Order: sequence, then C-alpha cells, then structure tokens
Amino acid sequence: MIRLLSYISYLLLLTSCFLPDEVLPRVSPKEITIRLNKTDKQTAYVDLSKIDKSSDSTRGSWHLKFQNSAKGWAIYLNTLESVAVYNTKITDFDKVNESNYELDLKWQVDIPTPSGLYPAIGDWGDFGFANPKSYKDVFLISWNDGNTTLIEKLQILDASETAYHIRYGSLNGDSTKTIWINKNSEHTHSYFSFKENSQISNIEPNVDKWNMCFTYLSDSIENHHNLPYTETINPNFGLYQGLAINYKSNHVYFDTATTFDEIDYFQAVGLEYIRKDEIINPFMIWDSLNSTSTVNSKLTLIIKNYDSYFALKPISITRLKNDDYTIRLIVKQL
Amino acid sequence: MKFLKSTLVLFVLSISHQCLAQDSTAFFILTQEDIRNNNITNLEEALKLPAFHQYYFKNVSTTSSGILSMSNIAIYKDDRPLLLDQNTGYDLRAIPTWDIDRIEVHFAPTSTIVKNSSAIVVKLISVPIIEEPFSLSATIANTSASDFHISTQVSLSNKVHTGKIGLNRSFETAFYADPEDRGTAISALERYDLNFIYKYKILRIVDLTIGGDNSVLKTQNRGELIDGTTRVRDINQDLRKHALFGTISSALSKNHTLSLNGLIHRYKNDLITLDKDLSNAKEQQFNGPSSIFSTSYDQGYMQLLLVAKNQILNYTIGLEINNIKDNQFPSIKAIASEYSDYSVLGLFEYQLKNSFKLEGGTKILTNSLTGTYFMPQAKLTLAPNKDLQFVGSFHKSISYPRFGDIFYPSEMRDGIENSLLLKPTDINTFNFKVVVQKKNIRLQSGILFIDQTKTPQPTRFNTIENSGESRSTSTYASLVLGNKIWNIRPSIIIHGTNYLRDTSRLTFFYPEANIYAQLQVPQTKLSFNTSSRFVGSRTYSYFYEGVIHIEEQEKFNNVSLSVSYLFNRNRLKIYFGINNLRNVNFIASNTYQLYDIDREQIGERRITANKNRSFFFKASFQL
Repeated sequence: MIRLLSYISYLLLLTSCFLPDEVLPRVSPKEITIRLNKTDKQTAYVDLSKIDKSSDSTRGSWHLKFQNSAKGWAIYLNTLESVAVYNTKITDFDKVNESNYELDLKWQVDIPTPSGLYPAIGDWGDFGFANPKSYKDVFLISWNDGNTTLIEKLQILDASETAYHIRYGSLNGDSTKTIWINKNSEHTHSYFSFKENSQISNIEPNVDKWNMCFTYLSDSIENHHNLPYTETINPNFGLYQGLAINYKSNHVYFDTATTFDEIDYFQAVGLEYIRKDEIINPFMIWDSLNSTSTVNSKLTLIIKNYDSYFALKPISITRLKNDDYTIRLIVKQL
Repeated sequence: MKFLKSTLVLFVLSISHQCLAQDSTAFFILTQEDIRNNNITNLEEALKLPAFHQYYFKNVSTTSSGILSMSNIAIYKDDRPLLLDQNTGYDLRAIPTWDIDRIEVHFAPTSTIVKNSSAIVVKLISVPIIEEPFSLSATIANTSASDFHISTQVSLSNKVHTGKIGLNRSFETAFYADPEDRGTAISALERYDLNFIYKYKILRIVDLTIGGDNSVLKTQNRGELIDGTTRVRDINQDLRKHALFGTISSALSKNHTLSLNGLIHRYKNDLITLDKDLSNAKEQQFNGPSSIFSTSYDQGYMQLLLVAKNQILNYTIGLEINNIKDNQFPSIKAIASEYSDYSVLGLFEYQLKNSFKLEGGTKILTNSLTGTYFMPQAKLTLAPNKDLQFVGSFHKSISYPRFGDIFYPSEMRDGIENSLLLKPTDINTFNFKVVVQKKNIRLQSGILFIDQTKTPQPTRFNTIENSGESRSTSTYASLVLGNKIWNIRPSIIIHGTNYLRDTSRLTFFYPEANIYAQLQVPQTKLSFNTSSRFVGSRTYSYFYEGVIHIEEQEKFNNVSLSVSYLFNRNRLKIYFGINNLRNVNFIASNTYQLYDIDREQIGERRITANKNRSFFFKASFQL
C-alpha cells in the first residue's frame, strides 16, 4: 500500500506544475476602405480597435466647431462648406449691417500651424478668467448653402466651462438669435449650423470611439506645392486630403525602416511617439507631371492609444479629378 | 492511534482547558484534523475561519473581520510575529499549514503582543516535536483540480538534542475567471518549504531553541487575451521568505523564568509584469507606470520576558525591540526607508480563590518616527460557580500604517503623498462575554466592541492624514458540544460595522454562521467530518476622491465534507473529501456612490468567494 502511494506521489509530483502558454495562430491584418468626397462623404472616423471592412463617411453639414475641453475656447470654421470669417472690430451687434459688407473684405480661414490649427476667429475674449470675458467683437461669417453665398453676423457673448453663448443673425437685422452651445466632454467638439439654426449632434463619434478621421484639411499651398488641392476662399490655403488624429491619448510614429510584417508590439513599444493633430496626405505620392497618384508603400503609420498599438499600411489610393479619394489600408493591432 | 489521540486531545483542550476563573477561551480553534479534513494548505485558505471574511479579486485575496483589515489583526506563530509588522502586504499563501498543530482565534486576549493585538489575535501553534529517537511522517494530497501537495517531516531526539526538519512541495492549479479565456481569478501557485527546529537542553533549567521557516512561492497571474491581438500581460511572482528564530530560556527560580526570543525575517516578493505574444512566444518585461513594483523587507525582532508564576499573583515584564527595513527601496529622496520601535511591558495576574481573577498591565512603545504610545489593558473574570464565568476586558493597542503610506512617494501610490509622521491607528477594544461550561459542553456568548481612530485617510489634496474613524460591534456565540465519539462546534456572529464614523453614521450588518462537526463511528476506524460556512451579504463603505462609496457583496457559503479511515496499525490515514460541495464560486459586488438621500450604482464586478467544487484524496503516514 505504502509503496503504491509512493509511486502515485512520484507520478503526481511530475505532473503538477505550471501549464505552458498555449500557442495561438497569428491574427491576420484587417483591411479597411475609406471613400471620401467633398459633397456627401466629407469625413470618415475610424475606431482602430473595432475596425470594419469599410468605414462610413458622412457629410458634416456644420459651419462652426466649438472646442469642448473645459479650458478650451477655440472656434473653428468648416472650410469644406466654404465658411470664412471677417472681424469687424465693432462691439455693438446692432450697428453691424449691410454697410459693413464689402466685396473685397479680407476673409480669413483657419490657419494650420506646426502646433495645430489656429482658428481664424482667434482669441475672441480674455481667457485669463475662469469664465472668459468676451471682447464682444462682431464677426461677419460667409458660408455657402450649396447654391449661394450667405453672410451672417456673429457675436460671442460669453462662455463657461460648460457652454458658449452666441448671438447671430442676418445683416439686415431681420432675424437675430441668441443660443447656448453646450459643451459635451464626450465629444472633442460641439457643432453649429447656420442652416439648421441650432447646435447639431451626431457629427463625430464619442471621443473614446475613434482614433483618426479621414477628411479634407486646409493648409498652406506653399508647404505642399507637389500635392493636389482644392482652392479655398483664402488664396494662400488649399484643401488637402488629410488625417486628423484624436487628441485624446493618440500618438503617432512614422516608420519607414521596418516592413509592415516585421512590426510587432515589442518593437512598437520602444518607439518615440509624437502628438500630431493633423497629417496632410500621408499615404500618397503625387506625380505632378503626370498627375497620377501612387501609394507610399514604404510608410507604416503606428498609432499608440494608451496601451494599445496599431500599425497601418496603405495598399492603394485612388484620386479622381474632383478630389474624390478611395484609400485602402491594412491595419493590425500589435 | 496517534491521529485519534491528537484529535481527542485538541477537542478536550478546546472544551475543558481550565475551569472557573482561569480564562483560556479562544473563540475558535481550528485543529490539525480540521486542517487535514478541509485540505487546508496555507494561511490564506486557513483564514476562512469563523469571524473572518475573505474574497479574491484579480488574483489578490482580501481578508478582514468586521472593520479590521489584515493589518489590524495580530497573527503570530509560536508567539513570534509572523507577517513582519503586517503593514507591508504579506502574501498569506507563503505561510504553510502542514506543520501547524492548531490555529486559535482570540477576541481581546491578555497578551504580551505589542502591536495589532487588542481586538483579534490569531495564533498558529506548531506541531510539537515528538521526543522519540526517530519519527517520520509524510502526507500527500491530490485534488480533482490537479492540486498536489507532498510533505514529510523527520525528527530525531536523544532527550538532550531534539531536531525536526520538514519539507513540502505544494502546487495549486489556477482558477479561471472565464473558462473561455486564460485570465486567472486565482493564480496557480507552486511553493517549496523547508522548516526546521532544533532544541538543546543545555542544562536541566536552560533550553535553547533554534529554528527556521523558509518558503519559495511562485505564482503566475495570467492576463486575458487582449482583444484583436495574440498578446497577454501576465504577472509572475517569485516570493522568498526566510525566518530564522531562536529562544533561550532559563528557570531563574522555582517560580521565575527568563526567556530571550529573537527573529530575523527576510521577505522578498519579486513581481515581474510580462508582455507576451502567444503567436511567436516572444516576451518582454513591462515597466510602464501601471506595472506593480516588487517589495523586499528585513525584520529584526527581539523580546526579553521574565515570567513569574505564583499561586496568587503572577506577573510578566519584558522588553521588545523591532526593526523593519526596506531592501527594495532602501532610501527614497535621501531618507532611509526603515523604522524601529522599542517597547516595555508589564502585566500582572491576580487570582482570589477560584471566583475572581484580575489581569492588567500596560505596554509602552516608542516608534523611531512618530513617538511614544501608552497601551493599557485590563481584564476581569468572575466565576460565581464552577460552570459559569463572566469576563470583561479592555485593551488599547496600535496598528502601524501601511509601509507605503509612510515612505513611498506619490508616483508609486496613485498620486497620494506619503507622510513620514503618519501615526499608527489607535484600536480600543471592549469584550464582554459569558462562558458556560459543563462536562461535554462549552458555550460562550458575548459582544466585541472595537473603536478605531486615527486611521490613515487620503485627503482631497492628495495627502494622507490620521483622520479616519471606524467602529464595530460584533455579537457572537459559539458552542462546543460532544464527547469522545462525536463533536459539533457551531458558531454565529453578527457584525455591525461603521467604517466611516468620522463622516457618516452609516452602520451595516452582516451575519455569519459556521458549523464544524466530527463523528468517529464507534468500534471502527472510520470518521466523518464536515465544515460549513454561511456568510451573509456584506456592505462596507470607503472614501474615494472625496465621495462616499459603498460596496455591496453577495452572500455565499462553503460546505465541505470528508471521510477518513485508519490503516496499517493506525500508521496510515486515508482521507477522501469534497470542498465547496455547493459549488459557490463567483459572487457579485456592486459599487455605489452615495449622495445626500440617494445612491447611484457606478460599478459591478465579479469577485471570487471560493474555488470550484473539487474532490481530494489525502494519505497521511506516521512512523
């Protein structure tokens, strides 16, 4: 009996130990197709952790975009809808009328800078206060409803960490409205449409539900003289196909040294990532002589989101004459 | 016969230790047979005791009793501190129970223990060395979950020199949070122990004891597969614990004994966070901000005690010196991360006939960082007749703040600043009980009142201060009933707890009931054993970011059965049993944020009350 127990115990001694790790098959990269045009598919938001075969592009029929972070006060313009601004420097809303509109006004659009997009509306108040004190400047806003260009006047009355208070109306004073644009921390920006006469939602997904957005971005023509662009109201700036990166914990690395197959988590984790809000046409090489586009096959874009890493590589990019784009990418989570 | 004898001895010990005003009375004793019958292999498993509440979350166990956390419950082995100063996060799985004779739970005992001691004291008592020329014992156990334990102990003695050495290997398989995924709720563990003790009777009145407890514990906390990848993040633990202790005692006279105890304890807990890719077997250590840091501490402890035993007046006076040093981060911002304390104690015991006994005394402790503490204790036992005792006691003691709260900077502690001047928690305990004891029955019932003040609490400025207060009242009753053939030991406790007495009057109650029973079938060598535990829904509250949070944990139970039989002229005992018969494993734990008149649920998690139901087979051989 005791001998039998001894044999059993020797046997069990050998079998009871930590299990080795199982071996799993490699996860195949996923493919994604982005289709963009300037009419009804202006933006495509991509959540890299839930990547789909294709990503829906939508038309963003907004005109003003308000920064939502508690201490952020920037107001941006939608260049795709030909929105531009002119600061009258007049602070009495009622005194601004048709007489202030001239054909040769110096309309401004948002200015891309190395540190991000600088809003054409600029610093509209004194942000040194907990609730900014507005300078009450009245701005002229030019926008296009698809057929005609319309001019409105806009005054930012005040703002708090939870909302912006604005007044706007036609130059003849027939229709003047005062509304609150609520800040919503679940989204990077809140949106306003002169056409809808209200704050509009469903323009962008929840801030935690997207990493990057394929869209059209304005930038200096001087900086990208080799790339195709669409003209804007400001002759110095063009509209380019671009990539907006979600500011919330997304950082990028441009890898041209390692092949897509070789990149894995262990390599990616040691790279030095940078914060970049906007990238102009990262995946395309443009042959301006022949007006043809080819894919930048050497580039792998690595995006770090908190502890997650994603590698993106373009497969093909097609540009039609009217600046419609079809971009195919493969994506793998590292 | 040795097995039978040990069971009966302990049973008798628990019900008829001393009569009249001699108050021995542990609230509960977990005997060696209980340990074997329930296949308990380490202290963590053993602390599923009456009065205790335990659950696991993400491979970490949390044990408490009412408002007391593990740092406020003194745990001693053979009167030596077992878990450093209990403020460093000791892994209880590193303490084996294969060499433990019994575990006693005491409420407010009179003791020479200086810290963490006023309310609940858990005493582990080692299996005594058999003073025979040669003895050998071995145990193997295997479970249906593929756990395996093997231990052997050899002792030699010629009456002057006595020695024992014991070896053990334990392996416990992981318990998975989800059978479809690899993430562990309770990690697998492998532990090797080498414990030894040597006793030398230098003179007829002078004894020297030297011993060592050494364990190596390895665990693998396996992470779940990260969505969309073949990657996982695991935590590998490599814990090494070495305790070397010695005692020299001498009878100075017929009534006086002087003893000097010493302990050197090293605890090193390496935690390595590993990123692994299961598709190509690559792995790399993760050192990001969310990685868990390793710990390593040294303890030096010495106690000098003079014990005088007279007919009427007994007394104990002593000195205690203790030092804890951090080896992992020996200095932080040019400040050495270590502290010492020095204590003197004087206790007396006065007995008038058999009906009145008064015990009292005080301890004075000086901590090198925070100052001097005065800790009085008093206990009165009245025995109007030989079957009845009334016992009332008061104790004051202290419990050190977590080592990290004292020394570790905010980068290591979620942004909370440390404080070198953080004082210990004050624990005031009142215990009143009635003990009725007859030939085959012992009933005790009472109220244990615990008041904690100066509990370290984070402030909204991310500092930490001694501002917390909590209070609990536990009403308890336990019964030991039986004879040489059978015994039954039920107990019931209702815990009333107020964790945030400094800010709210929220008092929560949770009940628990425990039944341990053994039956020796007459005229056979067959025994049946059962232990059952029923713990009601438990609620506790805490502060987080300046808001009161409430956690509600579901009720659970654990029923175990076993049968044992003696073979081979009583030298071999075979056990067969089942743990967690009703297979209660995961329970819900919901978190609420408390507002003025309402509460909002903000979280829900599954915590583990028990591992899955499993069968075990055990053979114990003694020569």
